[in-house]
Amino acid sequence: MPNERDAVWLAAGLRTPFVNVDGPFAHRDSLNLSVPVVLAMANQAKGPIDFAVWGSVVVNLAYANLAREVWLESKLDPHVPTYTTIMQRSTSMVGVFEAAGMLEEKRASLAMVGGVESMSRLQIGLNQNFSVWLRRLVQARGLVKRLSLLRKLPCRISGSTFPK
Amino acid sequence: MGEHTEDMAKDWNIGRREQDELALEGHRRAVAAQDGGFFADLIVPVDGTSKDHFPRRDTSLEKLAKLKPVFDRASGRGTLTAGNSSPLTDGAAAIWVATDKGMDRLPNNLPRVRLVDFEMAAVDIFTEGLLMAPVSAIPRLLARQGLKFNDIALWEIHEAFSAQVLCHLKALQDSDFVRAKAGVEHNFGTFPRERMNPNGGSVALGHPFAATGARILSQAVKELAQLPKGSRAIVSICSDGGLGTVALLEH
Repeated sequence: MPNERDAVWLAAGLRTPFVNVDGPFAHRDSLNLSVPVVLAMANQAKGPIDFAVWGSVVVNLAYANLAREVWLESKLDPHVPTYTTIMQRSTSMVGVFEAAGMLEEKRASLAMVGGVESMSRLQIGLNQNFSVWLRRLVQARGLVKRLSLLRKLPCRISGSTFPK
Repeated sequence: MGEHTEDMAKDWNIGRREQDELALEGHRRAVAAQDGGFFADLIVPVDGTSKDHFPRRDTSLEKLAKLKPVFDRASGRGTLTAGNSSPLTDGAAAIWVATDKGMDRLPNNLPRVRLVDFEMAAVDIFTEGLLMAPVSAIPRLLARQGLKFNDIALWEIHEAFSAQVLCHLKALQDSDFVRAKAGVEHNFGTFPRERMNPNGGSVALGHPFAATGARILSQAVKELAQLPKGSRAIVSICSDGGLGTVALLEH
């Protein structure tokens, strides 16, 4: 990186605890799991955050620009640009590289970068209930458990027939 | 991805026991870090949960050895198990990126280090090993900065699987491989494995894919900020699709 550009610093951020699928965060999708982290980060800042980058590898079918949805759901300043990036497992690291490039060029001074994954709430291009059922079936260990799940196959793929 | 990594493990002759040993060491380090409060100021409690679920206090080589392969179940040569693979994880993580001016807007006590340089690489997933891209990126980054392995005080290497980490370590010390894949001469010395993932990696801590970059970078920032001024860290992540990203940090 050329010397005439601004130095770029990384300051330690915050995260949720990392927990198992169908564990304590099973009710939170990628948006709702992101909000506590974004809010806690924003509370650290003593001045404006210039932009934010967020990402998720397993795409939530409801949000094209997850970063924007997370920012607005967190009720932070809507005038702050927010965009979504993705590079598989490197998503939030490449988000840091992208932010560093913009900061080096003196276009901004402070960026929040992060990512989220809600494997409990992943969607497979089907509706949410059928996706969860199908994922549990694929992960089920042993024939008995799989048969038990097969017996619970929702009659209607949409709606509320999915068993808890 | 597991099937690809099984192929990598066979290509690089990575055995089951060494994978389990690396996983066990990761769990021990993560538990010690939890007990020592290392993660306390990196984690926001959510819904009454304040600690990572995955570090196992009760695991052992004997317990890990009993687990069956989960990706190659048929050949009798499968080595990747639930015990030496990163678990499916729910989680979110973030990090600050700032100039000097931006740092003035953050609390003075936040650990901070300089992002010196970074490198991205990609490999042909059909012929070169799905998760081997960091082995191209790391040597290029070191060569560009004129550094050797020993100049790096801290290595944070993402663990999708213990086997993938061990493939990386073996490949990084293979002069012919580095010359062929990274396009640089190998004069980096011996890899200091004892400097790797001091507070546990993704096998023990969990791996919510898009959050892992921010998790591993924040962890590295805090670890590096506790080392003497001028210390350096390499942070490496392998990604699906044959991709890899590597960052060089300096305190």
